Formats: sequence, C-alpha cells, structure tokens
Amino acid sequence: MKRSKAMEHGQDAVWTAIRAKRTFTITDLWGEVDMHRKSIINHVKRLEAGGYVAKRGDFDSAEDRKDRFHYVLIKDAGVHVPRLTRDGQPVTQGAGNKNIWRSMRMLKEFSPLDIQAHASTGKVTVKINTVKAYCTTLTKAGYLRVSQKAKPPRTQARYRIIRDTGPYPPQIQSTKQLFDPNLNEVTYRTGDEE
Amino acid sequence: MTDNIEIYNTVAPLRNVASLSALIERVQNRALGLPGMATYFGPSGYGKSTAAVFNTNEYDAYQVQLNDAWTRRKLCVAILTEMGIDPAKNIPDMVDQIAEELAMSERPLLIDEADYLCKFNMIELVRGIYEASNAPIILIGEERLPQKLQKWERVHGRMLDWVGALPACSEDVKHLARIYCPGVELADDFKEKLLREAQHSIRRVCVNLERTKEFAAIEGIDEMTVARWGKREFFATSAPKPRHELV
Repeated sequence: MKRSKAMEHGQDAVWTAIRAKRTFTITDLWGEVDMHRKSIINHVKRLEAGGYVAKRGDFDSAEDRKDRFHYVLIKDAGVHVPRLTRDGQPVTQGAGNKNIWRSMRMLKEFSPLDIQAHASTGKVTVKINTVKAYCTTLTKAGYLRVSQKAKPPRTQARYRIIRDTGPYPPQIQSTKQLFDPNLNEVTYRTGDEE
Repeated sequence: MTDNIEIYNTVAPLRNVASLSALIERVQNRALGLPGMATYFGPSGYGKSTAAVFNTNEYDAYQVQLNDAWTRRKLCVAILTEMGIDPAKNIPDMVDQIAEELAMSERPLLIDEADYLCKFNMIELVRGIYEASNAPIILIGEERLPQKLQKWERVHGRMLDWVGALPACSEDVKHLARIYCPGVELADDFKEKLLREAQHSIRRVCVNLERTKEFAAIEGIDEMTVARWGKREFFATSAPKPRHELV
C-alpha cells in the first residue's frame, strides 16, 4: 500500500517538512519543498496565526536578512496539515464532502437521505441536493451502484458502494472531472460514459 | 424541500447517538489519571452503527470496522490506511505509527465490531496502542462484549465506562418520522404499533417509516392511523409464517 499521494501537495509538503525539522527558517523549508518562497511564507503565517508554530528570535546579525526569524513547531497536529484561513481559523469548507464520503464508506448501502442524516453534525450541515449530485457523479465514475432505482416522488434511489479507494473523498472539480486523492488520479471526465 | 424540514435531517437527537456522543466527550475530557478506553455495547439493530457513523463525523474520529477474518497485521494496516499513513513493515513499528498519530492529532479511535478483537489477542494490541498514545479509544460491539473482555483483566482496568445502547423509544420514532416520512402526520397509536412491530430496532423503524411514506403517497393521505394501515404487515425480523397449503 502506498502512502497517499495527497501528502505531496503543497500545504502537506510544507507541513511534513516542518514536522521533520521542528525548528526551521523559511529558507530551510524552501530547500525542502518545490514551491515559491511567498507561498511558503503564506502557509507558515497561517500556522503561526493558528498557534501551531511560533516565531523566535530576531537575528539582526544573520547574514541573510530574510532569515532574521526562525520558527518553532509548538503544536504538532499529526500527519494531517491543519487547514487554516488567513487568520488561523480552521477551514470548514470540504468538511461536508468528507462527512458524506465517510458515511458512504461506513453505511455501505444507503439512500441520499441516510447520508444527509448521518453527515450533518453540529459543525457541518449537508444539503440533500449536494448528496444527490455527488451520488450521481460517483455512480457514473463506477464508485457506487444503484441498488434500488428511484420511483419519484414516492421512493428514492438506494446506492451501494462498490469501489472504496480510501479515506479521502473523491473531488468533483470545476473542469467537470472527478479527482481521487487516494489514487492521485482523475478517475472520470464528463463524456466518459458511452 | 423547505428549509425548516432540512433542519431536522440529522440523526443527532436519537438517544443512542446522543449517548455515544456523551461517552466520547466524557473520555476526551476525563480527569488526569483516569483510563481512556470505553465500551459501547448493545444488540444488533439498536442503532449502534448509526451512532458510530454520526459520531465519527462529529468528532472527526478514526474508525475501523473489524470482521471475522482480521488479524493483528490487518488491524494495524487498516487503521494506518484510514490515517493516510504508509504502514511500516512490522507490527511493533505500525503500533508506534498509530500511537503517534493518535497522540498528536487528538482524534479519538472508534473500533466497530470489537467482538472480533478477542481473537489473536488483538485486544492486547489495542491496549498497547492506548498505553502508547493515551488517546480516547472506544470499542463498539455486541451485547456480550463486556463479558468477553472480562477475560483480559488489564484491558478491563483501562475502561472508563461501559455504556449500553437503549431500545428505540417513541421520541426516536417521532424524530425519524420527520426525516423519513415528512409531510405525513402519524397518529400516536400508529407510532406505538410501529415501534412494537419493529421490536424497538432503529433500523426496522426506518424501513417501516419509508413504507409508511410510500403507502401514504399512493393513497394520497397526509395522516396515518392504525385503522388506515389495516392488516398490512410491518417489516420485522421474525421469519415468515409457514404456508399452510404446503405443509
């Protein structure tokens, strides 16, 4: 089993490098990950605002003025990078899809209504139309199979999950394709069906 | 669907969902020095899985569901896969990986169908993960799970609490009806009958509510009573009666 390729994406790479170093400068990270210096600074600033890393020292004597500061990891949140807004608050966007996909994997056989009822929590509200649209796309892409056809308006469709690729929800991208972060590949494009 | 109906579309208020939430919170916020494992048990159909799915979402927990074929290695690999971590080669290293992630992320671990942990000493492995991480670990299993675990005294001592799932109550039916049978008023006698026929199982209550909705849609009615339902059968567990013409 391979480590999810999702880890190699930008924010994750920065986070992995920070966890490995514990104490670092922006230049240290820049040497580790293939990213623009500005994006790295942006990520580190968010982590700082969220209380995950702290700025230490002001080394006027540092040869490179850019590295006057070094940073220390003060709150390690495990392998998953904390998704934060500019002011350090947790990002809730994407939590809906995460809950929907997780509920599908756990319930195995379900109606969109079941998913909505299990995926809507105190922090996240999931809309029934979001679930229905997601079911439709996942069915076309071969992740779900219709186990009972809908007979509107009386009976809703029921689905069964037949391809569980892993913990990360496949993402519907604006280019109308389905990207699976578990496999790190596009598994479906509109127009793929016969 | 209007907005005020959407509000009700969560299983959060069901009493077993709420009692598992309360258990997880109690373990997460336990006083220093108190054990951090807990067991949630009850017969099949009581809504343990519903509770597990909702609470995995609510607490962003890591969750695995065992089955009969699982071994110690499979258990470790499955947990690490859920974590998105590349599993190490041997079991002790995998236990370290799991414990580190649990300790760092402060996310609870839910183990469903935990009865199977009694095989291959997997339960000791889970205890090892707990000892190394001190993270909340909740075992979810059948009615007899606490009895089975008694064999492992060291595991028994790590349990903060044992909570039993309760049978569905009329409040649960009322709530589920808002989700699965919207727009149909259920008379009290009908709700009682439905609950009785479903033998207080959440799963069967849901199936029967969907049938009620279909029936109401066909008949074009917005109120359901025992009289209207008539002699129609409810979905239940009992095996079908013998067909007398054949015996």
